[in-house]
Amino acid sequence: MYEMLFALTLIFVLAAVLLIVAAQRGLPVIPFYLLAGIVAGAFVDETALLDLAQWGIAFLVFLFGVHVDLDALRSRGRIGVGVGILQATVTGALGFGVGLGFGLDGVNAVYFGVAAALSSSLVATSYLDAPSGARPTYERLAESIHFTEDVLGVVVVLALGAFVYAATPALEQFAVAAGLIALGLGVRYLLFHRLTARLQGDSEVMMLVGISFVIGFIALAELAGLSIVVGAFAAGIAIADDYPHSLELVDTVDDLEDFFTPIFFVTVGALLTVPGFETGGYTIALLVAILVVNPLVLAAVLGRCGFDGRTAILAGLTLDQISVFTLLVAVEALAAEQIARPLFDAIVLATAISMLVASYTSRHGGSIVRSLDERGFLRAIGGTSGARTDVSEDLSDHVIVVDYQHGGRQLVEQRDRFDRPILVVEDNPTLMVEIEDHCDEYVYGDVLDDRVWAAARLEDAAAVVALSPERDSTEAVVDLETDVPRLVRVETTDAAVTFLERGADGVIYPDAIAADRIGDDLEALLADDISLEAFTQRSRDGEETTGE
Amino acid sequence: MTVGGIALATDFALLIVAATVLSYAARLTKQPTIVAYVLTGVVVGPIGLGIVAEDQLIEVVSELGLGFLLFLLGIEMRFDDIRGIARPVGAIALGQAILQAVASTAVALLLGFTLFQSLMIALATTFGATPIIVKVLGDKEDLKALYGKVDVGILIFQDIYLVMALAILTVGTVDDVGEIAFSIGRVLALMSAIGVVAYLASKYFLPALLRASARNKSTLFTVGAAWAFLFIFAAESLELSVEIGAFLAGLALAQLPYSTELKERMRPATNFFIAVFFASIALQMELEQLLAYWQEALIASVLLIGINFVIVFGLFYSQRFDIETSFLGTISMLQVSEFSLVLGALAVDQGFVEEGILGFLSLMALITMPISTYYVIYNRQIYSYVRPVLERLEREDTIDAQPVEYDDHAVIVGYSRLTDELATVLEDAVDDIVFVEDGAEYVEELADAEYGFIFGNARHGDIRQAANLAGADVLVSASERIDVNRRLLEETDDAVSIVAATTDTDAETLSEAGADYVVDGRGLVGDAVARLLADLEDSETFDRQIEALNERAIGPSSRSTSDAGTGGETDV
Repeated sequence: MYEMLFALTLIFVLAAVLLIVAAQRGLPVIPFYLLAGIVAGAFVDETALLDLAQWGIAFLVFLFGVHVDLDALRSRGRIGVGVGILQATVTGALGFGVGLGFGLDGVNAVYFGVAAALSSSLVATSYLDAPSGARPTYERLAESIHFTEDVLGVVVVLALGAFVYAATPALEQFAVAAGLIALGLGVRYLLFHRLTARLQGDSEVMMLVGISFVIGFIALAELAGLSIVVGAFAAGIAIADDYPHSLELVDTVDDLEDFFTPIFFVTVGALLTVPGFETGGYTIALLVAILVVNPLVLAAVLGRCGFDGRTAILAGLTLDQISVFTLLVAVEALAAEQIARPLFDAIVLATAISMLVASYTSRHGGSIVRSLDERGFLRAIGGTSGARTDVSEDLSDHVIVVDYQHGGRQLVEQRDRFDRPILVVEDNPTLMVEIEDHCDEYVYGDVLDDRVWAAARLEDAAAVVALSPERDSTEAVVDLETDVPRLVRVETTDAAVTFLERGADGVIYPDAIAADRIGDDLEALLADDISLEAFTQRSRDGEETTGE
Repeated sequence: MTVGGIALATDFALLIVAATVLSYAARLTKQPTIVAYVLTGVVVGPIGLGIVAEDQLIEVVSELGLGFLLFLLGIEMRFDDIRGIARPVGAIALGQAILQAVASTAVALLLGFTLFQSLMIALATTFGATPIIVKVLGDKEDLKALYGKVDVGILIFQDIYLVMALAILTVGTVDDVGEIAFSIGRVLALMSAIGVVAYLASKYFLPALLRASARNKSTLFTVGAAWAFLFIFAAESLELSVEIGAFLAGLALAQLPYSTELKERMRPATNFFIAVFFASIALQMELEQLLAYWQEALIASVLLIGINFVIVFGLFYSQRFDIETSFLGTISMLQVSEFSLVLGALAVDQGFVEEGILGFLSLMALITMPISTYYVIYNRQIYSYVRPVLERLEREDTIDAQPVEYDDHAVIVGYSRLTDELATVLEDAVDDIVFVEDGAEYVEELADAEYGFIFGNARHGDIRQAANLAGADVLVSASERIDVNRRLLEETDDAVSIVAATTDTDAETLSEAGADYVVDGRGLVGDAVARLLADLEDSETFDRQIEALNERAIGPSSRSTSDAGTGGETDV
C-alpha cells in the first residue's frame, strides 16, 4: 500500500505542477507527462501501476468511442475523410519502406509506418472543449481529418490484433471485431435508452453502468482474443452521447478519465530506457516524417482539392504530431513482445518532441505561412481559382463581405434592406456551392492574397465588412491600403481598440450588439411595455428575418 | 506486463459489474446505493457465490475510496452553510453524541457484548447516514427546508466527532496506559501539525494555486487529487490514519470559492472508488462472521431506532424547534451510518475487535438503512399520522430561522460583455443577481462585484442547486452547451429565460424546450450590419452610425450608471 501510495502521490504532484506550467504557457501536457514518467521511473516500480494504466487506455479509447458521432462524420465533410485516408496511406507506405530500409522486420516496419502516418490527437479529448461557435476554415478541416485518422487508428489496432498478436492469425478476427462493434451499436439503439430511462438521472449509477459497459465489452474482446482497445471502442459506441446522457453519464466518465490519464502517460514515460544510437536514428526519421513529410503531403493534397495555399498549410500544420493511438499501439505491441525495444523508445520520444513542436507551430502558424509566402511557396501549392470567381465587369459601389459562415449568410439574406450589390469573399471551397446559388458576385480565395482584392474590385467598392473570427485575416483587412471604409469583427474590447487605432473604420463586436438588442427588449419587458409573448416574438422575429 | 491480457477481467472487474447490477436494482426500489454496495460484497464474496476474493487492486482502490470520501467530506465543511443555526445544531449534535453513546453502550451490554465491544459499538453507531439524508432529502428538495438544514448541520458536527474517533482508533492496540497516553498525544500533536499546515496553505498558498489551475478542464481535478494525495501520503508516512490526512486536505479547500466545482469534479472518481470500498467490506467475511450476532443485530436495530428517536426528538424540542421540524429532523437521522462500517473496518484492521463485530455493524446497516429510506421518503405522511399525539407538545416562540437562500433572483450563467450588461438592466427588477461562471480569469472581478457569484460549471447538479434555479425569476445563459441550457430550462419554474444558441437547430430545440428568448448571435450581427449599410448612401448618417457602433464596442454600456467619461478616441 505504501509503495502504491507513494507512486500515486508522485504521479499526481508531478502532473499537477506540469499541468499548471503547461496551462500557463499554453503548451500541450502529454509530453510533460512522458517526461515526468522518466523522472518517476527512477523512483517507482512501474509494474505496480500497470493495472491502473490499462484503465487509462480503456478510458481513452472508450471516451473516443462515446464521442464518435456517425452523423457528424457525414456532415463534417467528405473532403476531410478522403484527404485523411490519402495522406495516411502515402506516409504510411513511405514509412513502411523506410522501416524496411532500416533493416526492421516486417512487423516492426508496420509499426514504423503507423507511427509515421497517424498524426491525430484523439479528437474527443482535444477539440471537445473548443468553443463550437466561430472557427476558421482550416480548423474545421483539420478536425475532420483528425477524426478520420482516429478511426484509422482503431482499424490499425484491429488489424494488428487480428494478424500480429493473435495465436492463429485469421480473417475471422475481423468478423468477430465487426460483430462486437455491431453489438455496441445494437445496445446503443435498442437497449441503452431503456436501461437508463429508469435511472431518472442518477449519475452515480449511470457512471457505474458506463464502467460496466467497458468491462463487459473488454471481457468479450478478450474472450475472442481481440485487443482490449476494440472492446473499449465498442463499449463507447454502445453509449449514446445525447441529451440528457451527455450531462449525466458522459461528463461523469470524462471526469473519471482525468484520474487515469496522467497515470497512463506517466507510466509510459517510466517504461522508457536510456536511448541508444539505434533509438536516436528511428526518432529522427519519425520526426522528419511527422514534422515535414506529413504537413507537406497534406498541404499538397488540399491544394489539389482547391483549397488556397494558406488554409492548406495551416491545416497541414495541425497534423505535425504523433497520434495518441500510435502510443496505444506501441504499448500493446510492447506487451505482446512484438515491437523492438529501440523502436518503442523512439516512438515515445518522438511523441513527446513532436507534440511540443506542434504546439509551437499551431501558435505561430500565421508567421510560418507568411515566411513560406515570401518564398513563393503558397502559390505553388494552391491559389485563387478563377473558376470559382464570378464578378461582373462593371461592378462598383458594392459591399465586400468576407466570411460567409459567421454572419455573412444572414447579411446576404437581408440585402433587400440596402440597395447595393454584395460580393462575398470566402476561403472554404465546400461553401462555394451554396454561395454560387445565393450570391451573384463572389470571389474564392484568401484575404491575405492581393489578387483576391483585385478580383473583388476593392477600389470601386463602397465598403468592406470582414466577419471572419480569425485574427490574421482581420489584420489583413485592416491593413489594406485603400480609402474604402472597412468594418471588422472583434471579440474583445481590447481588440476593438487595437483595430480602430490600426485603421479600421468600424468594429463589429457581436457581444455588444447582442447586449444592445436584448437589453432593449428586456428593458421593455421589465417596464411592462411589452408582454412576455411579445418579448418571445421579438426574439423569433430576429431569427426569422435572419435565419431562414 | 499484461496489457491486452486478462487483467481487466479479474476480481475487480467482476466486483464492479456486480455492484452496477445491484445498484441499478437499488435505484429502482429507491434504496441508497450504499446498501447495494455492501450487498455486492455479500453476494459475490465468500458468503455468497464465492467468485471474488480481495486482491491487491481492490484493496488499493478501496483505500483510495475511503481517502477520497473523507477528502470530499472535508471540502463540504463550509461553515457558511450552518451560520445562523450553528448554536442549536451544535447543542443537538453534542447532546446526541453523548446520550446515544450511553444508550448504545447500555443496549450492547444488555445484549451480552463485553464492555470493550460495547464501547466500540457505541462509538460506531452514533452517526446519521449522509447518503440517505443528503440524497433522499435532496431528491425531495427538502434540503432547503429548516429540518434539512439542521440535519445537514448535525452531520457536519458529526464529522468532527468522526475524525476524533478515527484518531483514537489509529493509535492501535497497546497495553500500557502510559503508552496509550503517549500514543494519543503523538497522534494529536501530528494531527495539529498537519492541521496548521493545511490552515496556512488555505490562507496563503491555495487561493493562488487554484486560481492558476482553474483555467483548464483537467487541471483543477489533477491539482485537487495531488493535494489530497500529498496529505494522505504524509499521514500514511507518519503512521496516522490516511482518512484524517484526507479530511484535513479537504478542509483546507472548503472555504475557497472553487470548492464546489472541485468537489463535483472529484465526485465521480470518489463514487467509483467508494463503491469498491463498501463492496470489499464483506469480501473478508465468512457467513458465520456476518451472522455471528444476527439476533443481537435485529434487537439492537429496533431498540436503537426507538431510543434514538426519543433522544434526538427531545434534543430538537429542547432547542425550541417546532414539532414538525423536530419530528422530520429526527426520523431522518435514525439509521446506522456508512461511517459505522468505516470505523468498524478500521477497528478490525487495528485488532480492536474481531470480524464478528464488523458483521454485526454491517447487518445493522443493512437492516436500518433500507427501512429508514422509506420513512424518510414518506416522512410527512408519517407525521400526519402521529401529529395528533405530538400536538399537545406544541408551543409558541419556536425558532424560525429562515435559511439563507437566493430567491426571486436572476441566475446568469457565463460572464461576458452581454451578460454583464443584462445584469445592469435586471438590477432593479430582481432581488438578487447570481453569476455562475467557471473561468478563473473572472474570479476576482466577480467576487468583488455587488452580485452573487458561484464558481463552477452549470453542468453540475450541485452548482445549479446552489443557484436555486427553481426560485429564480430570470434565467440568462450564455453557455455554449445546448445540453446544459436544456437542463437549466427544465429546472427553472416560470422564470423569464434568455439563452444563447450557436446553430439554427439548437435555437429551435431551445425554443421548444421553453426558452422565452433565444439569442442567435450571427443573426443579430447580420441584422445590425444590414441596418448600418442601409445608410451607406448618406455618408454623414453612416459615419455617425459607425461612430456609435465603435463607442459601444470600446466604451461602457450606455445603460451603465457610471460616468461614461470623455467619448472614445476617434480615428478616421
